[in-house]
Amino acid sequence: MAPTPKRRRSPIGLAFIAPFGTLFALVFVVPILYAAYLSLFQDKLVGGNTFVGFANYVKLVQDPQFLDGAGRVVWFTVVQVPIMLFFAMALALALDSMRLHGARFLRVTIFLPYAVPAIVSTLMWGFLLGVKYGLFGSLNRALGTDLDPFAPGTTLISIGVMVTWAFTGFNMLIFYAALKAVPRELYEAAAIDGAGEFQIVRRIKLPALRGSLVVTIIFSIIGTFQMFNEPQILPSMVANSGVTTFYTPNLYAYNLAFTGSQQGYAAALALVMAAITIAVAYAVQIRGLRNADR
Amino acid sequence: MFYNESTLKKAGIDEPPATWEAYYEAAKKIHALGDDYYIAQDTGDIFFLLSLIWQAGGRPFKVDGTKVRIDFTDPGTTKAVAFWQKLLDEGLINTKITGWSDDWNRALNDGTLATQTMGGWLTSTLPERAPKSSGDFRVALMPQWQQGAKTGAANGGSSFGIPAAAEHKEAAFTFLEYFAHGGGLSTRVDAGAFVPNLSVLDNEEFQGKANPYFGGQKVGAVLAEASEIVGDGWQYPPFFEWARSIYGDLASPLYTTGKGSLAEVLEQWRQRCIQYGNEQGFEVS
Repeated sequence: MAPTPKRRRSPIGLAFIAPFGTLFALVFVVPILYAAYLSLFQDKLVGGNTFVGFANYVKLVQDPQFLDGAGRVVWFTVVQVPIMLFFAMALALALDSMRLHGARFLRVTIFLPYAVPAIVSTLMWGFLLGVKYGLFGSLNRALGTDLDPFAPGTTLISIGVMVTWAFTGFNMLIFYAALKAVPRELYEAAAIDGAGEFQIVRRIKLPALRGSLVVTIIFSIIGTFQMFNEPQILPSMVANSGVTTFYTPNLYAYNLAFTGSQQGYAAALALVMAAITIAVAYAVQIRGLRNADR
Repeated sequence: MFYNESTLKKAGIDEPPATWEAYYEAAKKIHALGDDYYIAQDTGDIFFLLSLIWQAGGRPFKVDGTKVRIDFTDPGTTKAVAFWQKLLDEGLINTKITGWSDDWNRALNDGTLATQTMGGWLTSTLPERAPKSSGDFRVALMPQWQQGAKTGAANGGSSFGIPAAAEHKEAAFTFLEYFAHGGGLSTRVDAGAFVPNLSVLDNEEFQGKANPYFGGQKVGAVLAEASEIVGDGWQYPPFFEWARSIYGDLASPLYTTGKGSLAEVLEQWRQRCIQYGNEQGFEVS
């Protein structure tokens, strides 16, 4: 009986992971540790820097402005992400049906908004939706209505439209790639067995998309939890759109750190948001993959 | 105060309002020209409100070292706040257009915004913002609280500092000297910047130069006088940058729903400033 060969650890292995390890430490581990360190201090304008332990965290969980912003992005995620992913999936299925003319052109066009920087797209949508001189203003005048896309109650919907416009194409590509990976023979076999287009979609294509659905949901959650550009730009374009300095947690952290000189508190906020995001993403992943295996 | 002479004429106003009472009457006449016509816009501009208070004699911030007192109930402040509240309540101010936005440029350009009570620095960018109104705008002193009085106020301001951690403090200081008082001034003035430096303002060339955009008016002389009559003794709290950033959060509900009042907003603002200032190690009351 031959002895099972023992895995020997050779120091050469370390050299192979060194490039990754160094970069990972520099751009992930060190900044997070530094933020964690900062979050334990309060740097006062008068009186300097003092160690305050977990006081920043205690203050944060009772801060109505933080809770308002965090609640807003959660609510936004719950509504916007399913809508966006539904559109993305429908478009991917349509492209994959091979019944479209100019599929390649469509694919690029739908993806294009993703390449537009959020700052530019916010300005653009700001002009489109403006009620004074924008497209919406013309619509209102033509129809005699008085709709304002940037009233405090509607701004979040407008931001949802901007985000959906920007990211549908990106998610569509992920779905489309997954569909491309399905062997064509499966479809032929299904057709021979008498399955119609819709049955193929239901029995083959949708199950094939499960894995990528988990990925897109995680990406989208991370993206919406970090929303910043849109609410940062909007107030300079439209008055009183309801966007406050604490509209989203990221915007709040930015304002705390750069106008409120409360870096410690902002660091605590950032870490708590990161923890929440990781927890939610992880939960989605575990649940999603368990279902996908079934 | 910058005013669009042709809009004012259209509304039957021959002279720029010299008192706030006249301003109020002018506001009504201008808005009567059409739904889009307003004497001014305001979407929660704290600098404008503070200069109104400043001119009326209110001194809401008192700073002594790290001690800060905030009080929006003195007679000057109350008078200014109540006046502006009246204009807002009567719908005489455009609360849809925010300053420095594209909409604002367009409204200045098409003449539907009749006046801007603002710092002299507007001279340098107004021609680009409102090219179509070339020749229509004029400059006058701020309307007065009392007929015949001559008091002004400043709007905003900027300052330069050298960080404690800076490596070359001496060099930085020398540069700031050059930039703010020395030879650097003329470079800035030539480039079109409005520099409220006495040597610039008192300069005869600055005062005597007819500005074609303002219909040939000698704008410099008016601006120089405006800076001379600014009321004394105004102070800002040392954490004003933070304070002004959150003012919009508090004022926004008033401007969108019309519920509440400026006085209530200011009181909320005061409470937040007290809380923040004390957290930061000041003694604020």
